[in-house]
Amino acid sequence: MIASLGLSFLIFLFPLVAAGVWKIVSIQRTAAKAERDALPFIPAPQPGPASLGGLPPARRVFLMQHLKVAGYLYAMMAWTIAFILTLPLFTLGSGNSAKWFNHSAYFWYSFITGATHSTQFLSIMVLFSAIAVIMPMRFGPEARFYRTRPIPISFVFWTKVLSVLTAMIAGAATGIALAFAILVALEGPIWHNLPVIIPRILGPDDADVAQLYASLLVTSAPSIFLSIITTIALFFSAVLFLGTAPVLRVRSNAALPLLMVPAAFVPFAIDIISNHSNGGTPHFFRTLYIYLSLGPPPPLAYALIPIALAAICITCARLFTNHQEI
Amino acid sequence: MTSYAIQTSALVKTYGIGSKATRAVDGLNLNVPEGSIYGLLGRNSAGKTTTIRMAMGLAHPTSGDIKVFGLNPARDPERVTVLRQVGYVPEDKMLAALSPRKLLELNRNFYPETWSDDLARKVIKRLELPLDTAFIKLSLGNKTKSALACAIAQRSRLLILDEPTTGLDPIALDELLRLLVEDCTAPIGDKPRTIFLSSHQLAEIEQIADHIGIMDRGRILLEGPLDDIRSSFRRLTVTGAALPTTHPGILSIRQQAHATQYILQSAPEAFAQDLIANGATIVESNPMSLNEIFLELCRTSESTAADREEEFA
Amino acid sequence: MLSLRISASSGVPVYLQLEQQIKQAIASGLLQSGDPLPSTRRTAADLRINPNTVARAFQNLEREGVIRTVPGGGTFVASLASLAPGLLKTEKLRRLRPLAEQLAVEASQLQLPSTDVHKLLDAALNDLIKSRRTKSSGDDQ
Repeated sequence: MIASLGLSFLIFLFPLVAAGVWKIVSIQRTAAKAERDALPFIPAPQPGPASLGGLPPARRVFLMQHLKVAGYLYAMMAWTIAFILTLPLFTLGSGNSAKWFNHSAYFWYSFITGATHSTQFLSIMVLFSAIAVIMPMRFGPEARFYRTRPIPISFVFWTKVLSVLTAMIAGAATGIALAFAILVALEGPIWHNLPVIIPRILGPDDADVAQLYASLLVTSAPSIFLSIITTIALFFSAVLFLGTAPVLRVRSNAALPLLMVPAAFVPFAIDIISNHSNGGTPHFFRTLYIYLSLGPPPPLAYALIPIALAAICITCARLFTNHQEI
Repeated sequence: MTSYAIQTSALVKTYGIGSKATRAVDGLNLNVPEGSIYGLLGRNSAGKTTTIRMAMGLAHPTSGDIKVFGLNPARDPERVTVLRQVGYVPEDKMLAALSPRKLLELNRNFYPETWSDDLARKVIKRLELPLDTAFIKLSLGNKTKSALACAIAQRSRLLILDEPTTGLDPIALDELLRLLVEDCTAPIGDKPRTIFLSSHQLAEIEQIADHIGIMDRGRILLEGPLDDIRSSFRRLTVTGAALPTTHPGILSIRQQAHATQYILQSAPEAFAQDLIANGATIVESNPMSLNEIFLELCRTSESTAADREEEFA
Repeated sequence: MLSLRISASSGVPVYLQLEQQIKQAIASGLLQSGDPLPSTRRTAADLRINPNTVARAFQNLEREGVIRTVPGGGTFVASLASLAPGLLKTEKLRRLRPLAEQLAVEASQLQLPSTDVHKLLDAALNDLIKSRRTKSSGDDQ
């Protein structure tokens, strides 16, 4: 069990580490070559304003930089979610499969519980992305550099926030779609064929399985995946709000991550609370459309609440950055 | 009607709260005329960098006003208009953590109307800037040169340089002065160009500045054209009986073994004639270098502040 | 060509030092009438001083008729022949009076008798004429 988990973690990390190492090596190689060649300063001519809808070159350069980073983030997010969601499919054959009466049912159960537990790991990623958005806007030489160039503060803010948020949400959606495609490819549309009635072969010892199965039948997969996306948006905006609020009077780069570390425990707390509550998602989480356990989903209309809260947090963060000193 | 590149009015900047509040800038009235080379002089914690940061919109005034070209440098959209015309070298010389070449390539995108690649190449050659050294491997002097190249090649209407001589060896320093005079003072079209620099190197400031401001404890002690200031200051060594101890122009008086030394900060000839008319003998009458003027003003300001503190203690 | 040396902290205003050194160069023959002077900006850059200071010095010199600017651009040393009659004797005396006073003060400080001061002045004038003569005779050869 541990071995398979460890192996799967390594498989997960491998493309990320490989890409990272390749990038570092190529950067070092070009830097060494540049130092050897010692070419004079003859920069490439800039493309005309025709590209990218007439943006001035300053903003164009800034935007392109961030779109590139957003691309990497998107790929990483899609890979992470697809990996987490399909992990149960590949590590089956251990644990409770013997207790379950139906192979498809167990498959579906593993898939869904994998999805509900994914938010822990994703939230760490979201947290770091939010910090990576806030820090270069608020502290350090890079923040000061862009604050002293002729680009509006709003442009800097929206470029950073929207590129990262869009990349994460699109990456999550892509990862979910990929995982679903793999599931269908491996097992077919199992959720259509789940037996409604539990066969009586199970005895009184299997009461927990019966209860889980009952919840499983009423669990709505699309709602879970929608909840993943709205929770990403909500958590990101909340961290963004906290990180840009004027209450934090820190001037050094080092301090902010220390203040943010407690925020990393929030997703774990959410997970623990939701798993230890009886009868499905607690009411508070339902209002925020945080749907992380088996059971009936919250009403679809509730999904608008985290979206609205996220929009409010982001707007406040935008106003906070106007008054920030660097 | 003189227009001012930078103008502040009762500018105050307070850091900290409650009993630990410190006034980095304390009622500053600064006037930098367009077309001048203005040297801001002051001791280490006089508030020069804070003032410069407020001019660049990096810090917001606690109270009072600061205007660059008559616009507010902290509020969009005026801020963008200001920054389009300003070149900036910060105190720690770190613009971005890039090699000089990458930094120049990045910076040139922001100033398409005024940037000059030729001028960038000239600065690189004159200052001997290594283009491809990674940022972590750059010495302080090279970081300074990198930041200077970026700012100068922008050909901006206003250059704000915060201690631009840090880490520069004498040759580089000399080349910098030559570049500033040669390429940063010629008007662009009908717009005159201004250079605003804060420095401890009084000798260099004295050479190229035509306006200076002496700042101490967050306020201006003295400001104006350098020639006027130099002609108003005089050191007189006088012998005689019943020498005056107060007079409007006296900055300080020192008793020596056989004579009295007066430091005058205004109307020295009138005072000298007064003394002669009253029978005193002027043994020596010397002009003062900027360094001496600066030292005298700061010492007097310090002792006045100390007296004031004693009063309240 | 022309080597000027400016000291910003000497107490003498820089524009005055410039004027004096250019006049000295003309007087000793280093600069002849019709010789071109470098532009204001070039002079300022070479000396690392403020261009406004150089402009002021050049303006003063032009007002005194020592140099002239051509409308197309370029500054030249004026012909000395045109200079001298342009200034009345009173004006010349007025110009030299502060220097004479300074010499008098210094001499009295050092307690040098006035005959020695006169000898000093004559020697300086003679040296100037001698150096100009040797320069022009050197050029002839």
